[in-house]
Formats: sequence, structure tokens, C-alpha cells
Amino acid sequence: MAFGLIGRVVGTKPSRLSTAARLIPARWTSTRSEAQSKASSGGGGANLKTFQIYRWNPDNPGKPELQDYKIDLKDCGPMVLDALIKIKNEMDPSLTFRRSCREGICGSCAMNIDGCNGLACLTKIESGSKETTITPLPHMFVIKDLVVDMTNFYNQYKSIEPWLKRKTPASVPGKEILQSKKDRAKLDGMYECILCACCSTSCPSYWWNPESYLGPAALLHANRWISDSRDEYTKERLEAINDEFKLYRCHTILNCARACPKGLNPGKQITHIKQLQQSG
Amino acid sequence: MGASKLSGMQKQVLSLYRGFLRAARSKPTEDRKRIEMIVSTEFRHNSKEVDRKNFQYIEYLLRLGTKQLDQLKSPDIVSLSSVKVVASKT
Repeated sequence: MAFGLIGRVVGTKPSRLSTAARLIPARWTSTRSEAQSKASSGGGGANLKTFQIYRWNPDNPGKPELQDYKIDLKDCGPMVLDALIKIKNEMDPSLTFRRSCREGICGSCAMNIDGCNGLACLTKIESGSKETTITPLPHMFVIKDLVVDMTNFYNQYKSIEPWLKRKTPASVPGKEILQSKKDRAKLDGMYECILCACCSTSCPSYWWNPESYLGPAALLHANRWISDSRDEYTKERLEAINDEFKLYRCHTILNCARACPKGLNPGKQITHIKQLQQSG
Repeated sequence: MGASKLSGMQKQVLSLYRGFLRAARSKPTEDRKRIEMIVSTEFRHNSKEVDRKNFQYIEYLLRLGTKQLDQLKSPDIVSLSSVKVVASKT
């Protein structure tokens, strides 16, 4: 940016030089004065937004409530996670939520923001004065505030045996099992899943049968291992999930594709499994 | 006649208690007494303090207890101990 300014200064007429030269230091000082005004305005911040956040404390158990917090959006980063961290740092340290990478790769900060499941670190704060409601993932048991119990979800993932299983050893023992680029391309759209649980907790079928229906995330991973050319237990994998409840509770509601923060389509992968079941 | 009919949640709490006592039986004698002491004080304390209608909290405690019981059942776990924490207002 500074280079561009210098370029413009060089190219302009001498009469303009003085104004441009005055502009460069003026810009630097303007940011300093902006910072000063931000610090002084504080409470009279122009851009206040209210966040209604679900609170429930197991140490003082009562009814869960939506608590209001007002945030000045000028002092805050663009994402919902920035707002939550700001609230926790400055206003209420007891606010509890999971977070880790702040870049949408770990899947810890999955929660329901304004009715839609998503990652807090990837969801922008909607500008405007409307209140934003933040609640935990729907139909999951709440441990505290926005933290939910994911053990059932993880157990379902574990139950599909998400590892490579082979009957014959590798062609060159001790070396990698080879896979063509085409076969590797078949896994695109499935390997990127970060197990955030946004899709499974947005599926009404999963809400009504969380213990028996595997859910879109687990089925997406099941398809990932079924479609892996290096895996030799395809038939056994298909038979393991060929169940009225495990697989066929999916009625292609496709809320999962809508909720996925990584842009994956679990519904499509489930349809692929159903087709394989039909033909196999 | 006999005791009034127990609700489903009450039965769950009792079966959890029974599960803890059974798990305690499989541990060495000294630890067994400690486990039984901790578990019984916890259950008795909660039965007095927690409101019978506070279903959300009771279910939360049941889930917590079930997880702790699964951990206790593992043969690697030898004993249970507890620390009393007093929440300060600061």
C-alpha cells in the first residue's frame, strides 16, 4: 500500500506533491486519532449488537435461560466466535463454550446461530440491529451453557470402524498400498469432514432416533471407507449398516447438506450407499 | 401396603446406585469401603438437596454417574477418591 502511494506521488505534478505528501502522514495520524476516539467513546459506541446466549449451569441448576449481552461491533472481530471470546473476556467469564483453531478446521465451536447450525469461527456476525440468538446444537444433552455431550455421536463414528481393513497384505510388504488418482478422487467430498456434528444435529430423523440412526456424519464416513479402493471389507461394511434404523431412517430431508460448514453433502453420500445396497 | 410405585427416573437412579455398589465389590476390600462411602454420601446428599421435579439436572447427574461407572468398571481402575470444593464468590 505504501509503495502504491509513493508511485502516485512520483507520477503527480509538483503542485500535487505537497498535498499528497501531507496525505501520507495524515493517514498515519488519522488511524492514531481513530484509535484514541475508540478508546474514549467506549460506552457510546455507535454499533451495538445484542447477543442472546443460552445459559445453563449444572452447579446452580435451574431452568436454562437466554441471557442478553451487548457488544460494540467496532471493537470486535467479524466472526461470532470473536464476539463470544470478547464477552467471556470482558463481560462474563463464566460463559462456557468449546473452541480451538478459530479457522474452521477443528470443528469444536459448532453451535446453533440464529437457528442454523454452523461453526462460530466461520459464521460472520450479521450486521444490523437485530438480535443474534446463540444456542447449543439442537437435541443434544447440554453439559454447560453451549457445551454439549458428543459421546453418542463419537460412538456412532467408532461403530462404523473408520480404518483401513484388508484381507491380503500390501503388494510390496512394508510399503504403501497404491491407489490411482481416479480412485483417490472418489474420496473427495468425504475426507474433508471434521466431525463437527452440525449435519447430524440438523437432521430431524436424527433428533427422533439418536441412538439407533447413525446420522449423516457417521454415514458419510461409512461411505468414505466403502468407496476407498484400498479397503477390502466393502461387502462386510455394507452389510453392517444395512439396517432399518442405522441407514434407512434417512428420508433425504437434506438438512445436512444445508448445515455443513465445510460445504459437504452427506445426503448425496447416503444415497450412494443406498444404491450400492440395492445393487449389491 | 408396599412402597408406592417408583417412577422410571427413580428406577434409573436406583439401578445406577446398585451398579456402583456391584462395581465396588470387584475392587480390593479397603478401596471397596471408600468407594461405597463416597457413592452413598453423594447419592444421599443429592436425594435431599435436588428438587424431585428438576428433571434436567437429575438426568444430567444420571449421565455423569453412568460415565463414571463405566470408568470404574474397567479393571485398570483401582479406587475412587473425592475432594470437597467450596465455590468462592470471588
